[in-house]
Amino acid sequence: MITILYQLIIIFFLILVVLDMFKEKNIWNQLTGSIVIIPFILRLLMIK
Amino acid sequence: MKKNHKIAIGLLVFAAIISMLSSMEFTDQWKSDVIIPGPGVTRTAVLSDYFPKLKGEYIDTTVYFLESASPGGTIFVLGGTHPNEPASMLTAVLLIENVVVTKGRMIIIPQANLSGFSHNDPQEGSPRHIHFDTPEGVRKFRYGSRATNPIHQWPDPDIYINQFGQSLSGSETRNLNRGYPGDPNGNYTEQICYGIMELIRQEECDLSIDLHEASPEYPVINAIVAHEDAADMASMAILDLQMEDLEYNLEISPPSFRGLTHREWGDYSNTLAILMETANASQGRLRGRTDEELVLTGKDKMYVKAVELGRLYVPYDESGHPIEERVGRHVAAIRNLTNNLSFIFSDKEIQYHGDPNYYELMENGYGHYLLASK
Repeated sequence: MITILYQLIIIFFLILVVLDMFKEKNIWNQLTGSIVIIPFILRLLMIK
Repeated sequence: MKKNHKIAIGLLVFAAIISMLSSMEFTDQWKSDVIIPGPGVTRTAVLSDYFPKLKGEYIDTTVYFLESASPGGTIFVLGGTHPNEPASMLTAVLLIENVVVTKGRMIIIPQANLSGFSHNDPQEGSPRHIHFDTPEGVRKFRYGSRATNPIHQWPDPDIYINQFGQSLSGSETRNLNRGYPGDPNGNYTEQICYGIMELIRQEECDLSIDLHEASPEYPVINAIVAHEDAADMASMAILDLQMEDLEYNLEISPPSFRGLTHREWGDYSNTLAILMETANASQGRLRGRTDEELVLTGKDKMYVKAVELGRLYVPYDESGHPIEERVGRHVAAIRNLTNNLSFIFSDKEIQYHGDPNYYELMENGYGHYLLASK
């Protein structure tokens, strides 16, 4: 149960970061967003 | 399409590629090591045969039986409690692939905490695998983490309160050698402990040995830690080892140091409980560059400096402490403990052959004793 809640939280923040990447005009902030989502993906899939 | 949207899509593709490449690296470490049953292996089982709740779990590790037709004692050898202490698993593998038991029987688990082998500690700079040249080609084994993989057991509490009410740091909740005697309803790691305890009890093991390594600055090193019931046997074994020019310290298991094999195996079963340590620079805090060579040779100029400053509990020079020496010490100690078990309890005699002695291992190298992988 705790794992599912954890994954839902990750999905929530993942969506926020992706949406921000589309709103963002500064390429460096967009790049930062892309780096942030990598550990989110690995945790969402419980790979690392 | 706006320019920033195009860039965002491109960066998302970039993130997906990096995630995929990282996933391939991480999941590669989930693959099992090849351990080849030698001529003495009569059958295998899995830990869930003793504790069915583990069935289907990643941690359901393999148990190897080396049995003879002649009744005698039972020795249990546990490797891989801490997967970043490679001499532990490698000693168990060497026994599985070489030993033939002619009286009594030997039960071996080479990878006690399989979950710990499925990841390592990137911030420690640890290598993911170690390799050995054998007469038939290269064999590789995983170099894992000290603790259970957080993808199997999480989150860590701030403080781990063990089954005896003692407080430990939170990460110790995933340390296999803090969770004994185990709890069938406890966390993932405590359930492995319970499964191993059940094996010892159900198989009525007379002598049980947990193999470890320690950093050279750790006081309990090149040592045999014995439960008080096993102290006589361990004392005699150490005298025999000294006659082979192998120096060991004897430590009696402290009664208040709970959750460890040398204490709980002895308290919660009828076995004679032993834990052994060798010197492994790759897990020490004073080490320099951390790579496969350090794991296999133990050569480290930082430790040579540390011994000059009187900071170590083992001799250390430019020749390091190679894996052959560390495995050789374990193999020699197992041999001498078994001999003394047989000497003290004639109805629990165990005889076996096929294991190299310390000096043969040093001369031939570890890979010489690995079987061909098909």
